[in-house]
Amino acid sequence: MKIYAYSSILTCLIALPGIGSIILAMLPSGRIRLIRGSALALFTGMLVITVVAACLLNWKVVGSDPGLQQLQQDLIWIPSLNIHYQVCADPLSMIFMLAICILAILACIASYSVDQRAKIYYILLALLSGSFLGAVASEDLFVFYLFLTLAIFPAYGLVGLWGGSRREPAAMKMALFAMVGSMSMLTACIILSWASCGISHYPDGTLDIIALTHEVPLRQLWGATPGLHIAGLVFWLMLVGIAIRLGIPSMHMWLPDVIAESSAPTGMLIIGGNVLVSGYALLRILCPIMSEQSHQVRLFLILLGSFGSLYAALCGLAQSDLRRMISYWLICMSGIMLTGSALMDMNGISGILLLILACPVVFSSFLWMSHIIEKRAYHHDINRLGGLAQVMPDLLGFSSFGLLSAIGLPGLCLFAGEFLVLSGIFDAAISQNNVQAHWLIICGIVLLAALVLTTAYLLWAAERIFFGHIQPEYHHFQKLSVMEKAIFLPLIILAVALGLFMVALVLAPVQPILLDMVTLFGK
Amino acid sequence: MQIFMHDFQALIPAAVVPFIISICIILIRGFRSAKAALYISLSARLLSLVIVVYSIAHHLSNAENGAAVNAGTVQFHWLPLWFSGPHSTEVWLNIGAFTDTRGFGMFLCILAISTIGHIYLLSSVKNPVFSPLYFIFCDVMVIGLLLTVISPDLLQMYVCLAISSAGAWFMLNTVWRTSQEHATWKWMVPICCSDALLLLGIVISCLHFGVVVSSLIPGYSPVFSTGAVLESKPLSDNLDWYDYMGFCLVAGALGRAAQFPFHTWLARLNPAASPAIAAFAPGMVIATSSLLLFRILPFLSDNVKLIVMLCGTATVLIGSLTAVVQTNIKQLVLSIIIAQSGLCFALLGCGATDVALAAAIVLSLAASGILLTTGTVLAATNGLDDLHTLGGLWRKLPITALTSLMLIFLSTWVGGPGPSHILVSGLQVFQHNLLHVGGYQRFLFWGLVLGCYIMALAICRWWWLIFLGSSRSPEIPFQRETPAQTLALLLILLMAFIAGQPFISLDNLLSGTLTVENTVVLNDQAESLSSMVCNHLQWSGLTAMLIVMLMYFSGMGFADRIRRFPGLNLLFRWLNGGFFFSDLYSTFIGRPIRLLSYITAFLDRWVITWVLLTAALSIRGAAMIVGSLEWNISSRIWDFLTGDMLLLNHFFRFLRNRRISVYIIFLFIVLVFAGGALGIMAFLFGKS
Repeated sequence: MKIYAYSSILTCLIALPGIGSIILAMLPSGRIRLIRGSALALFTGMLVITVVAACLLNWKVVGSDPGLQQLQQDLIWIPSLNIHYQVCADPLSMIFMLAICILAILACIASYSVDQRAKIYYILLALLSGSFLGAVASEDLFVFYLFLTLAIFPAYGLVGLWGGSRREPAAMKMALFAMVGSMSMLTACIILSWASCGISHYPDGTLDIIALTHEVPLRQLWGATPGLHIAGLVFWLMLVGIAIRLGIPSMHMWLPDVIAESSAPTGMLIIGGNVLVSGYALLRILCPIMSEQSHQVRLFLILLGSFGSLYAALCGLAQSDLRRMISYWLICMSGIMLTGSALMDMNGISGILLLILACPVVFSSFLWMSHIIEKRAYHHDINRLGGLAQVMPDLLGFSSFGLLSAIGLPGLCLFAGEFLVLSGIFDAAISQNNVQAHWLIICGIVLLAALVLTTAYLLWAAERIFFGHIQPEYHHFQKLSVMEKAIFLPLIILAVALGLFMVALVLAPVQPILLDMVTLFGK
Repeated sequence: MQIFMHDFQALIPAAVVPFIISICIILIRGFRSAKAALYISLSARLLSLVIVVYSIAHHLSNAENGAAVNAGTVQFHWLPLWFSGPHSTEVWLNIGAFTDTRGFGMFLCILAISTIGHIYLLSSVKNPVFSPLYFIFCDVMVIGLLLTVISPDLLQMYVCLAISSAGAWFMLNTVWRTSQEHATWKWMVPICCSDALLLLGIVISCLHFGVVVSSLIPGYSPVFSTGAVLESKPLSDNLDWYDYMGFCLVAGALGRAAQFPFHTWLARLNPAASPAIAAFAPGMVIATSSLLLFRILPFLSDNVKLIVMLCGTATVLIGSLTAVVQTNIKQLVLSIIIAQSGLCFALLGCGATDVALAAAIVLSLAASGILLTTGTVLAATNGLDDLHTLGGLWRKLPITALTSLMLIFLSTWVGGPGPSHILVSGLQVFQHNLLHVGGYQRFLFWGLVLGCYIMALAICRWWWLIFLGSSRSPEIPFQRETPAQTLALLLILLMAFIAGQPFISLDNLLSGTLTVENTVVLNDQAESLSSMVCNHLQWSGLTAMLIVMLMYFSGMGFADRIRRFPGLNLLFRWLNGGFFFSDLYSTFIGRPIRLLSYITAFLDRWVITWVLLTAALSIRGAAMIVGSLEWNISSRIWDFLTGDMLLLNHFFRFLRNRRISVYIIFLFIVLVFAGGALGIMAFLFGKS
């Protein structure tokens, strides 16, 4: 039975940022407080609608049956290509939508000091969050691609207009990389659409994610062996599209520049949103739809993820720029996510789900810390800092949660994900008695080494920033303002809540979906 | 009135609630006053002690001694894990509490050290190095340590140890006395490495032993708990995994306890303030680590236990030899702590578990007291920390001198049959169990005995050079000890003394050991000799004191004499030069990793960027060439058509000035000529 009730609520949610942008555009440019207040109201409205949608969602109705998709809206958009505007929700996507809304509202509050071109700024911020929401809500692969591509333009504007001194090259680099990813994904969509023509129930082809996952296994699209090569091509194209967005090692080159040059609030939303959406794509699209192809290159992906993490950790160790160090930490986490997704078991899938949700929290905390330091010291060079705990003990207190989460302290948000991925690797190694087992053990040890190195450079950085002798020019540094603390507070609550109650908050609602995915992998 | 379902349940709120309240209050007050933060934090400890005392009273009236007790109605599902293999299933990692008298003893010991450390701080909290942050992180560390010793399973132990390490790292950083660039994170990294190995061992143990039905063993967490694993049957017959697991677990414990070859990190704590080290080092290195090893002992094969014994003995030797040549007062005590921890590990490895744990309790209390003594000395001398510059302090610090002497007696097994009873019992079990270890027997036993003697010598030298004789720096105005300092030292002496007394019989209280199979049966003549030595080891402290006295009257310490001998000179330099292994690690591990990281970062930042940039420039260049060509060609064609080209200008002007018929005639002529040329070519080539 399809649940069509309140079917337009997701469309309202996706459209709200667009409508809000039009309203913001009509406000007088000089009234910055009004613009700021309206933007905050807009983001709060988005959060409220998401919460309402979450309340309307029946969290227990999940499973492999495509008919169980909820809050669904399906409109034919381009009949000749059989492309539908199709959005729906289930517990997994709803958790991601909530995360995006929280991130957006945090970014909006954190932008309280933006005065220049405030109207355009908030419009771009709203469009960006709307694009991310649309991507997560979409049930059609083309709609997903569309929203993901739409997100490039506001992100480009936000980095290019409100960033650091080298913001324009960074924005251009990000846009080019993202466009390559989008084109790659578009090509995969076209091939999929063409290849699925004539399959039962879908004479004109389909790009319905649920249908592609459950009803149209990719291996049956072409039937013959050469078809598998094309399926492999689709897999690689899709992987490239997702990997670029996620900043997986080897496709991460845009990430350090963007993180170094973007302002903190925009960085929170752009990078955090990218991690959430591309992580969602990894979970929802790549692994389930192309499970057979994933399985064929499983070891390669695990090797890429684990050695990529080590590579990123080594790069992070050598950084003296705080922002770049943060970016390599994120790249290292992306490598772990890739490893977890390639494991294709419950430990791996649950682990990366937790990592995907935890990384934006920790990343935002780091970015906010760097913003506060930069605001006072006018740079983010770690070697020039020191002794800040003496003048800003509250900054150490608040940012220590992010730091401790990043080094994998148990009880905070990242540990569970890392532990599950690690357990998954060794579980796979022990349960297999073939050549892969040895490689898996090596990957596990490499991953562990990457985590230790990550801990080392984060602690070293914390020591150089907060402890030791303080420079004379830093004595006048003020303690944190109420607004600065207010940004930290929800991040701390999220870090602790995800670390202690990850089962109740995340894993329990989505467990049937995850089990369903693992069953698909088994097939 | 019985508040809790069981006595030991009281330990959970005692370990968490007061400290959380303390942290919250300090945070709410907004980091304003260190003194207020100290009082809040101290109140939390006292409250915790009250709860524990309640627990003791109730336990003594009810419970069976030494029995494993489940306090775990407070269990909640924390993290699910899924296992493949024959028993593929989902299990939950629970957070709960469990303790026996061993864990309880450690709990009390850690809480006492922490409380007395805060009492000691009452006099020095005005020092600007102490900020409210120090007390917040100290509370975090203590929560971690206390929860560690009442953890029901290994994973939770790991979790709590990690929390305590993080708290300790921040705490020590806030009270760093001198600028030690790049030093503080270096001591944390070995701990993180050992933690990673411990985690790896836990994962493998979990996967190796599989899932145990928790209902079989009520109160145990189903996956990692010692008891549960003992009841389970291994799922895999591959014994390699068993050894890997044991090795990883032991490496984790060795690293955390600063055992050879991971002992170098403890020396790096030296620049931190003494009370901070006193709160951290004995509790973490001796007490908690010993209990950790005790908990994982059932997992270990004989080979791995032998490794533990060898590492423990090597640590005793290296720690004591390093201590005997140290001139820095705090560094010397840290070396002693390493050696004492090694002794506990060696005893644990050979199976004298409860004796080792009893020794760990006494030694950690004594070590904490001695570290506090160094704090008093440093405060009294405005930071003089070289033994050569100290002396005659007993006049200024009489109570500290006397108390520390008694603490030294405790930690060197002098002062009656209390602690020496523990040591001799342990060594007897050790000696008995050595029958199974073949060729390592002599090294293990004599290394341990010799190490104990050298340790005693080192600590006696420390005391003598600080407190006796005349002052070697008379120009420096010495300050007197404060009441808070003396009170703290007296309290810790009292606790250590009581814990070590035979009427308490701590080892028996802990377990009811020595068991029958551990009773020594001495037949062999050589073993009788060993037995005689170990029975007389209780006099090692007095012997050491006599030697130190002789050293003192014959010059400035034995270490200076050693330097004059060519061979021993090298040994001295080796030992005194920062534990030697530290440099070794730095040279062979630290620097290559740094170099590799710089190369990787350079590659990532510049080479890949330049490759990308080159590719982008190439594309751009190609685009410019194509664009230029396109522009030029089109413009040339246009020019061609419009007649701007110089050479043909006149011709086309001529054409342009004519009518269209001229073009047609021109085209006709061209075609005729072209056709003719093609015809001639076809004729010629076709014919040939």
